[in-house]
Amino acid sequence: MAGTTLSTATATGAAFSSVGQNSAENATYANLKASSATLYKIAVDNTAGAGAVYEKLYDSATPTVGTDGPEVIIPALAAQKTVVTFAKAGGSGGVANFGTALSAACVQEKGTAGTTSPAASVVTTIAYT
Amino acid sequence: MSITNSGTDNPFGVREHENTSISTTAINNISLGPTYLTSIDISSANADPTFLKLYNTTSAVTVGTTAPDMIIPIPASWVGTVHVEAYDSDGDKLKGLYFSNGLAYTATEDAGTAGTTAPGSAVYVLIRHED
Repeated sequence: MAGTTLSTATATGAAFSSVGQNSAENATYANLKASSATLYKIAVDNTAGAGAVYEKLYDSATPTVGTDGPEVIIPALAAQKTVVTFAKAGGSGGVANFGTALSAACVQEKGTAGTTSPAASVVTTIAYT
Repeated sequence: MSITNSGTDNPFGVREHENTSISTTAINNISLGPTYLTSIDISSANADPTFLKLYNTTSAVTVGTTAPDMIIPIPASWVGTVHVEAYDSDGDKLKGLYFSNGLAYTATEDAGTAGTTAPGSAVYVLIRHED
């Protein structure tokens, strides 16, 4: 299944150069970057949701959601927004775990398995280079 | 591996859990019940990426099988802090990310649920959470 495209913007004055935002994140992966990437911050807004969702990031341009092991899982509980910041000591960067690519998807299941899209709109914002 | 837990009787309800060398041995229910995760200090001497896996459970975790609720990536030889914040639907900041059952963790060199490969070198964590 082809990935969806996130809107992107350049964050002036920040350490990161790109911000991907998806206003309807789901189980269809979105490829943010097709080459190596560093993750700085991620916000998962599930304030419209009645159940928990799990944002998953993959070191792949074409991950198989539900099968490939995600490098990152960020939960957002029902009616909540989760914000996670990766602050490398010395202020010089985030986490450069994505040697191949950076893709994202959001499902209702934790862990690797599961392909159930969120029942309500989930807005995800990811800062990366 | 050396594990230190802050006392449970401090008046602020803020707790610290320190592990000088995390491994694939699951550390179960460090919070002794529900808790709010706020931050994790990390210092990795491992030459390979490590994945810190967090579980919302009071039960014993089966590493490689139990699905983690949260995975924090730790690059090779990385030192830093992971800040965890949560907000309600009104935009009000909560204490942290709520683990409604309990907080357990482990670490492997494998992404996702599967895998039991221990970190090749010591990875230190200091997990801060609140009652």
